[in-house]
Amino acid sequence: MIAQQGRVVKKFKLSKRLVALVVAALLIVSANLFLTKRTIPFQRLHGYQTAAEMIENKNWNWGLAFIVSLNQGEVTLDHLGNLENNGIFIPDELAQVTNLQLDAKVPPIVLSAEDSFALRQIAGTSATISKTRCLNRGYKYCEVDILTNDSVNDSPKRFVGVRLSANVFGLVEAQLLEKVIGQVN
Amino acid sequence: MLDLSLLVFIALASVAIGCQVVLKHLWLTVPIGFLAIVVLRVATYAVTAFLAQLQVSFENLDLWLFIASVVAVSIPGLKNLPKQGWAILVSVGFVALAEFGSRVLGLFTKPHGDSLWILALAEYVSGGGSASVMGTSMSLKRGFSLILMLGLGEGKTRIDEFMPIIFGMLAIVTIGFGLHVMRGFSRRVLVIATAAVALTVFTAAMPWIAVFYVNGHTLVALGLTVVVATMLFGHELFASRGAQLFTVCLGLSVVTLTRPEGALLSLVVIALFANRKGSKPTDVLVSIATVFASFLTWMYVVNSYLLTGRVAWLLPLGMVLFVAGVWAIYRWVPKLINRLFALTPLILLTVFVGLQIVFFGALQKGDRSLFTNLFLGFGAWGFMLWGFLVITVLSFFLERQRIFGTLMRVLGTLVLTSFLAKMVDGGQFGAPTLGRVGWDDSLNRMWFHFIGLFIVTAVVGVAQVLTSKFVGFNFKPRSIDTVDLETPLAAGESK
Repeated sequence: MIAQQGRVVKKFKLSKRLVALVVAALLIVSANLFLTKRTIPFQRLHGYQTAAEMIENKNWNWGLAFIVSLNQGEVTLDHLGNLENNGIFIPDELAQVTNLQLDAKVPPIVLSAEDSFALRQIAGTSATISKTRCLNRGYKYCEVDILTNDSVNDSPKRFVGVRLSANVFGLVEAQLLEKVIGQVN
Repeated sequence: MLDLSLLVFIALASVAIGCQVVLKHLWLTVPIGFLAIVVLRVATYAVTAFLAQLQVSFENLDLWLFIASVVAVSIPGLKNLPKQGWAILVSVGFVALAEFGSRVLGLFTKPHGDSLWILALAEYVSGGGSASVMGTSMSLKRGFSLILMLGLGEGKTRIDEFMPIIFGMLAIVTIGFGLHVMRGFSRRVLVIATAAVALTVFTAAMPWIAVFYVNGHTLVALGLTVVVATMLFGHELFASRGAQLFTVCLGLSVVTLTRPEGALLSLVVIALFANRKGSKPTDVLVSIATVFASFLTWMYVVNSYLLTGRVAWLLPLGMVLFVAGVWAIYRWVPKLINRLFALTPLILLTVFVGLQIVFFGALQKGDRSLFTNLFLGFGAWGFMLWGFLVITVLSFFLERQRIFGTLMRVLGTLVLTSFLAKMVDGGQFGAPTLGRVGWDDSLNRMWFHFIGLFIVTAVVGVAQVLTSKFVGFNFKPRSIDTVDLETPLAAGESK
């Protein structure tokens, strides 16, 4: 024992149990470092990005409204149907944030395989692919293809919901869709 | 440029406001000031939303109201600023570090759905969008106060630097709280215990994710750590009981306004500490009223879907009646209320076990996920809980520090509360759940709320093992004066 400033302090003495505790701590640290899946704790951005830009890069499950808004501006989306049984779902608050007008009264128009093919074959048609929740609440997400064609309409204002296959939906610029299936109400 | 000026302004105001409440403890001064600023942001935004309904509005009204209110509240503390050199250095230092990390290095949140939602709403708020967007069930789940803080910019820009700043505040509160709790131990034990805990905690990914991760968890952790530290050691740290109560209310208000489960956590914390020596019925009533007022403010400002129809007036009426009921029981049967408060952990445990039995099948997947996340390293928490388990088991065979028992009781009860909150959240559309495997599961992220308390508890736990005969390292620590949560007060005692 050493007397220090009026206090009695015992010397550090290594017991087997202390060694066991230190080894246990080192094992945990090693397991943390070498046994867990490596996770990068943050991302690195080059300059400020808006939420919409990040959402586009991340292909976020809820990103459809942002993708439409980022690429098409303030437009109307109709024939969305309902989440429970026949359509796709865009939360109202995200539509409001992105200045989109939604009309979900009517279900998406079901396109035949020929019409779907014909739509994509029109020269100049481009597709932006996103996804959103669809066809019931069971945490199911569907692909949504946003189809436009500048030579048909270079300032789109209205997109119509369509069902391209069992669980692939589309938001097709109204005039482009009319070229394939005729008048859309 | 506005971002940086605003951040420096907030840093200085945090010190000016904080030093009006507590002068000598830097680790509390700056965070208390910051918590006050968060509450002021919510309050001024609420006023702006109310004025907007009266058609009184102009560009960035919420920002200017916020600045004016912060200036007004800071003025009485300005005289103390020259003596607060260290606090200013720390506060402005956080801003500099956050600015360097965010703007120069470009470090930013790990992309996650909730973060993207929060960022999008923050932009909408800073662009002057309507508050009612945040009233839907999915938006309410993303909280409120953090969205408003991030949306303090103008013209749809966000102030992302708040995330590392909040993390920094949480770090200094945890360090200060830990040092205060450990003051009975020798420096050598303190260093060894702290190093052991720091190594096991910071070799896991979650604490690093939390530095930039955009979500309310870090802010809730800050609020809870400040509240618990104040409840435990307020009698030593604060000059007056009023300052203590003010700090507790600030912390509870921020916790309530930041996450949907915040109100529940706040009420449980109030119940846990209601019987502590020196606590008066008015403290408990004011604290409960603060939680209710904060919750209602949030719900009314965002025009919450919860407040439709009769609920719009039944809920506040119920809250008023609840406070009145607690007051009446305090007045006429204080023994009963003290017993009820003391039984909070047991009541929560009974509900939890009951739900586990009733929903045994539905909860199996969640229980497995919970174990996988926390003990098998899939939740980004590494294997630190194994160490904590060892310390906890050993503590049953050693002479326990009273503070260790107290902190374990607080931690355990808050963990149970989180389980129940998650069950309610997951059970909205069917059977309750306890989450899924992965760092981003909401229950798994909720554990970050208790990181400050966990670290302090773990350091004390390691220290008490080191100082026990068990390891032959027998430095007897001085006992630490803290409050007793386990024995309900007799009627009239210190009330």
